[in-house]
Amino acid sequence: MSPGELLEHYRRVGWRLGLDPAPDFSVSGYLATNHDVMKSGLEPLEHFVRHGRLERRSAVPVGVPSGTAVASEDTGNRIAERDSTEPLSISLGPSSAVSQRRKALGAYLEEIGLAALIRPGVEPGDVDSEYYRSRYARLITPGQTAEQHFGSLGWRQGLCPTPWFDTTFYSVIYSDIRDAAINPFEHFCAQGYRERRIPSSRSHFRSESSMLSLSLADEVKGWRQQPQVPDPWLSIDDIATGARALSLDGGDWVVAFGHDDPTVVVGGVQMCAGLESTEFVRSGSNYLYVFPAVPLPTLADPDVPDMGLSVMVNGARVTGRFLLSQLADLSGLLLAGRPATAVVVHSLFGHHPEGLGEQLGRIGSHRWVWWVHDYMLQCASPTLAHNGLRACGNPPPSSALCRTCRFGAARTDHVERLRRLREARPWETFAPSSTAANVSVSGAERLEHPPQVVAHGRVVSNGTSPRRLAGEHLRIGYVGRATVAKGWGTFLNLIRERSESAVEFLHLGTDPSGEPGVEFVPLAQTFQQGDAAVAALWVAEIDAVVIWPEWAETFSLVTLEAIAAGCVVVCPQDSGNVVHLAAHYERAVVYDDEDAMLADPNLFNRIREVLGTHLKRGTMVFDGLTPAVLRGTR
Amino acid sequence: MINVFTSANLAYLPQALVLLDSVRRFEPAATMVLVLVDHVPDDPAITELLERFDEVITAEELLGESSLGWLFRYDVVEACTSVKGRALCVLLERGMPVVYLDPDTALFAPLDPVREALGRASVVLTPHQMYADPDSRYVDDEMCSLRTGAFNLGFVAVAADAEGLRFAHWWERRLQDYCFDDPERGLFTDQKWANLVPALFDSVAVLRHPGMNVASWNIHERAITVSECGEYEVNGDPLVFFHFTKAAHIGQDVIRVKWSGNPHVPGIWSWYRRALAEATALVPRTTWAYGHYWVGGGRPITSADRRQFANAPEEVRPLNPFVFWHPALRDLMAGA
Repeated sequence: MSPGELLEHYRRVGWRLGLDPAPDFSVSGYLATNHDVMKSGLEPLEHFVRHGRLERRSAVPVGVPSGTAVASEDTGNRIAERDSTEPLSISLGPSSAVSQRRKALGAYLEEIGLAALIRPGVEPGDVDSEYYRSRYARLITPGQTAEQHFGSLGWRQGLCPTPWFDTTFYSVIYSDIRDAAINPFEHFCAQGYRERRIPSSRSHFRSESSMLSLSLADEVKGWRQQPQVPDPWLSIDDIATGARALSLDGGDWVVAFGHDDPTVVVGGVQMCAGLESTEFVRSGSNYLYVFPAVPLPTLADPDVPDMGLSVMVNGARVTGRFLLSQLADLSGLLLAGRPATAVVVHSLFGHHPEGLGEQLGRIGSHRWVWWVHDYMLQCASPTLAHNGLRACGNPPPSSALCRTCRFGAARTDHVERLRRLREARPWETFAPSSTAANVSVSGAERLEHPPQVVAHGRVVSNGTSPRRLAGEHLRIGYVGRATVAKGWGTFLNLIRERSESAVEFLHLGTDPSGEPGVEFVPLAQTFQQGDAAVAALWVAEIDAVVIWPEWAETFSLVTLEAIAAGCVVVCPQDSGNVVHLAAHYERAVVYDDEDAMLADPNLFNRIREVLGTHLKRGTMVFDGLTPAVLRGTR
Repeated sequence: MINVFTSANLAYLPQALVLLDSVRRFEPAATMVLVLVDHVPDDPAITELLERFDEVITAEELLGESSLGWLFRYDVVEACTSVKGRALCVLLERGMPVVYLDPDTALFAPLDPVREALGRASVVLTPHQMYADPDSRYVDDEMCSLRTGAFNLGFVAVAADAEGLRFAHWWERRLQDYCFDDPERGLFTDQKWANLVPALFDSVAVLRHPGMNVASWNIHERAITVSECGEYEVNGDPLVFFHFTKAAHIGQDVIRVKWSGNPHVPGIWSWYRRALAEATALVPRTTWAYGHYWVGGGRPITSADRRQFANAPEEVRPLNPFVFWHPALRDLMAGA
């Protein structure tokens, strides 16, 4: 950094992090001595130069405890008279202080269970160059170090500087950091750890309580302000040109709606969109998938009628965003004024139902298809889980359970807005499982008619020869993000309470958890590589997968993947389609609850018994997506 | 019809607002009174918030001429507690039963068990713990109750009858002079005094209802479940009110340690933290009016100053110690 940049850094960010601008001026010392300055929120050096020294206040040199030392007036004058372009020595303080800070930071990471993620040779507080390069190599320009990239651009893009620090998580959870627009990693390493802030959702217990304390409104604010490099706003003609370049000449159009970009985000809904896009293209139809340019965990604000949208056409992203009020115009350009073959709703999180309804009226369609992938028609919590964590049983909106839930206050309006959108068109409603259909018509908020059940996919035997004979040794896996709502806590409890030499535990996912006793297996999946998880489970020789969701899953792709990889599924009785699929394929080891599973002395023998003598691999077939319901074949 | 009151300074107004919302929901016919142990600043935002209560009685209005001497001797917790007895006397004079609730409590159901208890008793108390378990892992909580009182005075209900008034007047006098957190003298604000109540008064009910006053000190003996219609239950009875002691600090840590067997506790607790954050955002920051001298640049009043004043002979105590007990003025007067 140039001296000017150093000074700018100090004035904008550094002093808030407790960094000292010069050896003879301690930020923390000055603030500790001058409470009025601390309360005022003024930058302390500037205060000292402009006011403090005239008021005969004292600067406190770095390393001297506040209140015990008084620097000479000369010190103040020297600092005051320094030209603003003169180099300022920005440091973390004396080297012993740096070392102490790193030690304290390391101890805190140890305490919250993240120290295992500090790789050998990397100091706590430093950007992990190897990790950063391995994840973001394509973003770093030649000649640039990982630290330079993260410090200048990476943190604004939400990139993670180490495996234990999640930049986006920290920005979402702590609104003061977000509002101050300061580098979250720098804040945590200088100050945040002292305030016992949480650097990553992988510290799962604490992050759960942190998330619980966050109101839904604040979470939305966080999502809106997440560091990101947004798509540029483009004219509708430019978007149409980009879309046409990806489309099939003369093909009809299906227009579908989802909550985020399926080419980037991996999940069940995104996988459905990707798979059906491929299938439509194969049969000569075009597939326009519309999603909010800024994803949200709620519907869009009703008072802001226009919003940004982005699109995927035939499985590929069109760069750029446009306004919801232009959607029908885009459709008009692409469909040449003809109605769509079908309008398909996969998810409307982040969308504006009222504005969308108006646009759909102008677009027109032969068929209107609505998939119940989750329970968003019944609650703002799509999993029908209290605070998004534990199944709530769909109580009345006036109940105590709803009132104490993060989603409770938003529920009535949310449900009503979607109800009005549905009432305006002849939607055909489908659910991927009987669980999804049954839950949709039970409880306090329910659909009038049950959705038609169409399972997205199934597993067929592919004749692969058995991998190995299952012996005494077991390998038990957990697949996906290490989150409490998906059963990570149960998996950890299993490891803690039931570890034995003949059993190994593995986590297959994109990010390691750092938990001791868990072997991490990297697993990157996109809808173009839909069987990556099956292959990974097979190659890692996983015998059983623990799938322990806190809600009644409507489909559970991971269960299908586990079954296709020949694994036994360990799950709770109330896990919806997880237990349904596992039982259907005779791969289930089921318990009433976690306590019963942990207490069962025969748990591992039950797994061995269901596993049989060898693993039977299968192939997933997805023949229950929108193309099938339009053909009427399912 | 009942009167509900709470006592707080402006720093605790957010808590009182959350309590007020819950009282409005579950006891819509109740009169909600705030005893404000603070000055009311000339700030429309605070005025609007105070107008949400049916009535606000400032400590100085409540205590009259003796108010400044009364308040000076106590720190903020002691002061807010010390006015409860006088407020109880005043409200009982109106002829209706009175329920006191700490500002950091919130109702989850109507106060039906309290009404029922007031039908058979003049004074209703709730214990910190209510189950005798010889093998309890939480004997520390019982020992804490031995030090700070068997009953939690975040709640007390009193009938507007002769015995209720007799209790109120006794309590008022004790709190006027002895509402100290002074373990060496066996005192813990108003709470230790309540140990004597079953001995001194007739018609006292110890309301051993598991849904009353659920808090960190008894959560281990209260299993929280949810009924079919989504209402919280405690050991099978409705959750009536929860006491969110020290929500921002140690209370949460204690609850966290104990919540493993209570999967609904984090949900309740986090709801309170969110509600409190929303209420806090409404309340402008203020400084406690009785935390500093009113002359000489607002020098903080130390606990030594307060104790010295409390122990001084009546005749040397100024009527307004917030001015005349200032050390500089005392020196000046001593010199004169």
